Amino acid sequence: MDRREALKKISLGLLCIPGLMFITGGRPRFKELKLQKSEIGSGVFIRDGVIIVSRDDKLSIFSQKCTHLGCLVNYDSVNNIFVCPCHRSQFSIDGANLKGPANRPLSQLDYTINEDGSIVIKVPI
Amino acid sequence: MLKVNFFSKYSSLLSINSLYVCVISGILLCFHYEPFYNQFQSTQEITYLIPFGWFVRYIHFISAQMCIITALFHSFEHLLTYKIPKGYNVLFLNFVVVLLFICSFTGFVLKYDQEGKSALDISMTLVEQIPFLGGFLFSLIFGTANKLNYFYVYHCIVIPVFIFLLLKRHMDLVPSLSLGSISLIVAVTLLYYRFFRVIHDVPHGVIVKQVYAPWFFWGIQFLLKYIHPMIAGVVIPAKIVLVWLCLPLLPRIVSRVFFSLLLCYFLVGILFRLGMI
Repeated sequence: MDRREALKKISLGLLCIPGLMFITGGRPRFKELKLQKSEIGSGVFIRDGVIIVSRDDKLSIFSQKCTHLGCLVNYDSVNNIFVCPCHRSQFSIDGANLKGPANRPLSQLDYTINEDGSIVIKVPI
Repeated sequence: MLKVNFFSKYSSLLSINSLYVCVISGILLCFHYEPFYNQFQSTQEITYLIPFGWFVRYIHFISAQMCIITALFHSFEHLLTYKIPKGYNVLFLNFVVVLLFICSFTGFVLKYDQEGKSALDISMTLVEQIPFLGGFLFSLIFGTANKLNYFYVYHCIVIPVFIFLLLKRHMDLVPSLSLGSISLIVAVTLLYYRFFRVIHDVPHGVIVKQVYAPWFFWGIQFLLKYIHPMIAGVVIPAKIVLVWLCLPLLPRIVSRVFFSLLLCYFLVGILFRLGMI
């Protein structure tokens, strides 16, 4: 390979760097989900990857992602548990894991309650 | 040594014709598929509302699967028999087979039903867990989380372009369309639609006993249940791909062992899908 050819290849390689940075850049880590207390009601409420369990005016907010591999768990209203459709892990209504392969409880999410009663939840993405 | 029978003789022709059909039907699907919002709804609209949408969608799926299977067969034909010389020519073909599998996986995710979404979530979790490179690879493959833009671009543009560039290096001349092959693809599509369409899409939030990965990942889905995700979901597939790509440069005995192990892997997957293990 002569010098001209080498320079051509190096310049083309250098041009790839901004392209790669453009593709991999700008990923937000969290999104905020805002909900009114009236739309949650009591019982289990699921929206946008968030599970809200409301019992006796107490709120428990979890991520809907299974702690094994991140599939979204479904609510089984008959047995009152959450079931992962991918590998059949099970979680109780308060997020504790009942059956593997997941070995951790559902992740609790941070939230704040505003003065107007709305709930703002920080959802990792 | 494999016997070169009727099917193996025409495997490459069927494979390339399946690819043609897949590309044409894929272009048609792009007219109606909505990659940014309501992806599942647009898939359902294509299937049930748009005239002949079901046919275009299913022929896209069937031709893709036929292309993968026949390309895999064709590659093993190169690797296991002494009739066709192997070397860099086959190396390009093996790269194409890997890209076909990746393209099929991205297509599986793009239908975005409960199965597609779960496949995306699992692949995101696995990639993020890779030491050192996880964050970079995550941004490169998935971009902004929970959106399908990147997968859509990879599925429709990037991977097909690479497939055709590699195929150009693999083939001496580009075969023309074969009416026999296309008739076979149409026939298989109609049979598939007749017998399997009901269980094809799983809506979100519906309680199902189990959702399944695409057929070539059934074995890995089974392993993920019992082995650490990093080993079952990253190390084992990476090793399979690496060995597969090196096969054209290795002695034929390695190809034979790999072929046997691959058959065992698919058998485990099928047993898992049938609920027998």
